[in-house]
Amino acid sequence: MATFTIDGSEIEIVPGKNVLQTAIDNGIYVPHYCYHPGLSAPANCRMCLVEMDVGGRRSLGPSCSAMPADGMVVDTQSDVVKENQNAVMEFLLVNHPLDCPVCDQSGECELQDYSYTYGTDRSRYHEKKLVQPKKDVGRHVLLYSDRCIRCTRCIRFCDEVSGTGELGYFNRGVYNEIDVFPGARMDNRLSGNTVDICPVGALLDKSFLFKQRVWFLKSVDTICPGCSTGCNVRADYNNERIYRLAPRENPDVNEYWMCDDGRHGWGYVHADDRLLFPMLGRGEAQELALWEAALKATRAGFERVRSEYGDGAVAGIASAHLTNEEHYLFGSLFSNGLAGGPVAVHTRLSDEGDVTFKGGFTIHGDKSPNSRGARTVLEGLGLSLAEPPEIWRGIAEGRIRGLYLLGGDPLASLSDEEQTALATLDFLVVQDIRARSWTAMADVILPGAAFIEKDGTFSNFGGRVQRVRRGLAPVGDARADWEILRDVNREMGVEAAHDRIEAVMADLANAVAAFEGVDDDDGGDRGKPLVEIEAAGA
Amino acid sequence: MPEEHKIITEGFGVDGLRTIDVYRAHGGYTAIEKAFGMSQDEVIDEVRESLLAGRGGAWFPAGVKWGFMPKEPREPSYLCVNADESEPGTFKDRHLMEQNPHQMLEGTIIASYAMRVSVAYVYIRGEMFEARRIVEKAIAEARAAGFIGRDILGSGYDLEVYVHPGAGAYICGEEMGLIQSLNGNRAEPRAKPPFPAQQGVFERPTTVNNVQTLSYVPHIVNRGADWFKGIGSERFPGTFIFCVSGHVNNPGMFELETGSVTMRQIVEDFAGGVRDGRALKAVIPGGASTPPMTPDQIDIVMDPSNFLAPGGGDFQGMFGTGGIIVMDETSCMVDALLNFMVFFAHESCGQCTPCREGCPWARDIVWRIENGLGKRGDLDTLLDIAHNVGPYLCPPSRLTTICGFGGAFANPIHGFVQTFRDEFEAHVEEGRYPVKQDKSTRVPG
Repeated sequence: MATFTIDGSEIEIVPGKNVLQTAIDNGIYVPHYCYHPGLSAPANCRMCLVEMDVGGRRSLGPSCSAMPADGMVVDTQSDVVKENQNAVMEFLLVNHPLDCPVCDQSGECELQDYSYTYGTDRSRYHEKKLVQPKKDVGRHVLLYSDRCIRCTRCIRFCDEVSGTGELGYFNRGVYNEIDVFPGARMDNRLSGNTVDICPVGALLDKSFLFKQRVWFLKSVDTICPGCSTGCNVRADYNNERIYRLAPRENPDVNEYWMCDDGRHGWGYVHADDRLLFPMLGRGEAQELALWEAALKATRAGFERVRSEYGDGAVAGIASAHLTNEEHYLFGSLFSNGLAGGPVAVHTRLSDEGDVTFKGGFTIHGDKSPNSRGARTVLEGLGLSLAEPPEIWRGIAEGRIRGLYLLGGDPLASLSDEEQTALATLDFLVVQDIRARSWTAMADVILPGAAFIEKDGTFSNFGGRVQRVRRGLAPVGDARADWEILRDVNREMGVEAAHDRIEAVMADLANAVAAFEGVDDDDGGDRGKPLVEIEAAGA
Repeated sequence: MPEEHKIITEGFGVDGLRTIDVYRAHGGYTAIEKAFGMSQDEVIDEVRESLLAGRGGAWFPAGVKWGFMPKEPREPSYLCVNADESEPGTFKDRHLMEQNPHQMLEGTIIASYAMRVSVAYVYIRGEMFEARRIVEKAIAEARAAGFIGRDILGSGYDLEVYVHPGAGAYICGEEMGLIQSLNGNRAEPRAKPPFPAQQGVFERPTTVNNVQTLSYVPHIVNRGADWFKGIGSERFPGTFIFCVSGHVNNPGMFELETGSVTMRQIVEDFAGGVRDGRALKAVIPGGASTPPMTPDQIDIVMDPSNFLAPGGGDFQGMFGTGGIIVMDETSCMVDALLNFMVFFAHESCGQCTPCREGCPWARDIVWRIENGLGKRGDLDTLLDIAHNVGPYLCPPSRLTTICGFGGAFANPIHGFVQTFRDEFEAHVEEGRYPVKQDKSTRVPG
C-alpha cells in the first residue's frame, strides 16, 4: 500500500487523486481558487502551494496539479507556505475593488473568507487600480470583470463541461480579461454553473442580482424537479420565497452541475395561479371549501360513481411529478378504497429528447422527476398500469365516469380532446398546484404542494432514490400531496399510521421490494439506488 | 589578451554563406553524413560526452535532454528549435540564423535523427522576419539537396522541418510557452510535470533546443566530443557568444571560450571600453532578467560555474544569456530598472497571480520613484514584492510562479535595489536623483 504524509499524518494514496483533494478529503484544508474538482487544474492561482519533499528534494509547488508519490512528505503549514498564501492574497487584492458592501458574492466569497484566514487587514497598494468593465455575457449571466481574479474556472467549464467554448481569455498580463468571443453569447444551457464556480463576485446571476444578502438565506437540500436527471440541489429561501437553486455535489448523478432550465424553473412556486384552497363545484359554481368538506365530497362522489357504474368506472391518473411516497398512497387507494379502476401515470416528455454535454452532463427529455419511481411503486403494489391514452379513450367512450387526476406538473398541458373528455365525466377530482383550464371542470380541487413544500423521495432516470425536503410551508391552505392522499385514504376507510412522511416511507419499503431499505438510508447525501439497480451494479 | 575562438561564428561575413553551395564549400553537411553512419544512440552519446550544455541560459546538458526522448517512438515526436530570442540585450540567435542558417539546420537534422523525431519546428520570433525568410530559403535548399524529406541520404529516416513564426511575446521563448504557442494556444507556460519529453507539442514527446546549442552539433559530430571538451572550461566546455551593447565603443558579438576571459576583458578589450572615457557604473551580465554587476565585481571569469545561477558558483549573480548591457556613470539606475519593469509588466502572460499582479505593481512603484513621487517604504515594498515571487536568485523549486518569468522580473528588482539602494533612496528623499545626465530628472509636484 503506497502512502504519503501530509502534515505528519500518513495517508493512503488514491491513484489519480491529487495532493490537494487528498488533503481535503482527509480533513486538511488547503486554500485554492483555480482548482475545482470537476475541472482540469491549470495551477494558476498559486494559492494552493505547499511544500513537497520527494526523496529529499523539497520544493514549493501547487498541490492541485501534484500527484502524491510513495513516501512524499507534504507540509501545508510551513512558514514558506503561509508566507505565500499571505502574498497571493495581497497580490489578488491589489486590483480588486473594495466593493463588498454592494457585491452579491459578499458572505460566500472565497476572496473575502480567505482574506480573514490568510490575508492581512491593510493594503500597501498606493497605485491606481486597474478597473475592468462590466459585461453582459449571456441570458442569465453578468460578468463584472473588475472583480475577476482570473482563475479561469468559467473558461474551463465552457470548454470542458458544457463544451460550448464561448468564453475566452483576452489581452495579456494584468490587462487580460475574460470575455465572450466576438459575436458569441454565453447562452449555453449550463451557463449558470459558471456563477456557482466563480470564487468571487465576478460572474453574477441576473435573476439573483441584488435580491438578497446571502446571510439572510436559509437552505434546504433537495432534488430539482425539472427532469428525470434528479440533480441534487440546494434551495435557498427566505421570507417564504425561493431565491435560487444551486447544485450540490453528487458524483453519481449530477457531479457538481445543474442546467439553467432547472436552476430558473422554480418561478411557478410563487406564481399567482397557485391553487390555495380546496374548492367544490364546477366552473362558475366553484367555491372555496374546508378540507373536511372537500374530502367528504371526494368520497361521496367516487362512491356514487362506483355504485352507479361499477368499480371499474373510477380511474386514476398518477403524476410522475409526485413522490414515491405519494404514489404508494395513491396505489394503496386504488388497491383498497377505489380498487378495480384503471390507473395510469402521466409523464411529460420534451420534443428534443435527452441532451448530453461534452462533460457527460445530461438534461433528460423526460421532464418528470419521478417517472421511474411512479411506475415501480404502482406496479410493485400489484397494480397493472394502463397507458394514459387508454384512460382518455375510456372516458370518451363513457366506460370511465369518475377520475382522480393527480397533477404537480407546473407545465402540464392537456389536448382539446382530453379536455372535452374531462367535461363529460360525472365526477372529477383534480389534485394539482396551479389553476389550469381543466381545474375549472373539477368537482373537487385538492390544492397540493410544490417540491419545496413537501418531503419525500424521487427516483431518477437511473433508479436512484433521493430525498426531497421541505423548506417552505405550502401556500394558502394547500397541503403536501402525501397528506392529502393519506386523508383521502382515511376518508375511504383505509387507516394507516401515516402521521409522518417517514412512516409512509417505511410502509413503502415494506410493501415494494425495490424500495427495501430506502427508509433506513435517511436519504443519504447521495441517495440510494433501487434494489434491482443495486443488485445489477454489484 | 585572449582571442576569440570562432566555431559557430566562423565564416560570418563570407559572401553567400547562407546559401547551401557556399556552406558546403566550407565543409557544411558533412556532419550529417557522418551522423547517419552512426546509430542514433551513438550520436546522443557523443553529444552527451561532449558536455554540450543548453545555450538558452539554463545550461542543461543537451545530450541528457535528448536521452529523455522515447527510444522507440510509438507516436510522432517533435524537436522545437527555440529561435524566439527575446531577452533584452541578447542578439546571437538572430545572427546565427541570418548569417549561417544551414549550420543550425544541419544541427537540427542531426538532433532530429538522434532523437528519432519525425518533425522539427523552427519557432522564430515573429519580429525576426528577415531570419525567417532566410531560414525558410535554407530549408528549401536543404530539401532540394535531399537533407530534409523522405529517406534522407538513403538512411530510411524521414524528417520534415517547418518554420513557425512566433506570436509576438517574450513568454513564447519559455519552453512550455513555446510549446503552447505552437499548439495554437495562448503562450501560457503550464506546470511541469508532465515534462515536454513526455507531453509537449500536440501532447507528444518533444524536445526544445536553442539555436546556438544546435549550431554546435555539426561541429561536435565532425570533430568528436573530446575536441569539444578540450575547449573552454571543464564543466561547461565550448564557446559562448557574448553580445555586448550599451555604453561601449565597440558593441557587438564575441564568440569566446567559456572560462577564458573576465567580464572586464569583454567590456574593455573586446567591446572597446566605456564610451567617451566615462566611468563604468553597472554591467548587466546576461539579459534584462539578470541582476546588475558593479565595476568591482567584473573581474570574475566568465564561466557559468562561477555564478550562483546556473553553476552554483560563489558569485551571487546570474550568468544569463550572454546579453551584456554596459551602463556608464550617466545612467540612472532607477530609470534602468523602470525600463526593464515596463518590459516585464508588458510581457507577463498573466496567468499566475504573483507575476500578473506583482509585475505592474512593481513597475508603478518604480515609476513613482523615478518621477519624484516615491514614498518612504516604497523600497521595502518593492523588495517584498520581489521576495514574494521568489527570494533573490532562488531555484525554480522555490518560485511561486509556474515558469521562470517570476524570477526573471524579481531578480533585477532585488539586484538593482540592493546594489544601488543609495541611488533609489536619494530619488525618494530628494524627489530626483542628482545625476546631471539623468534624462528623466523632474521636479516633484
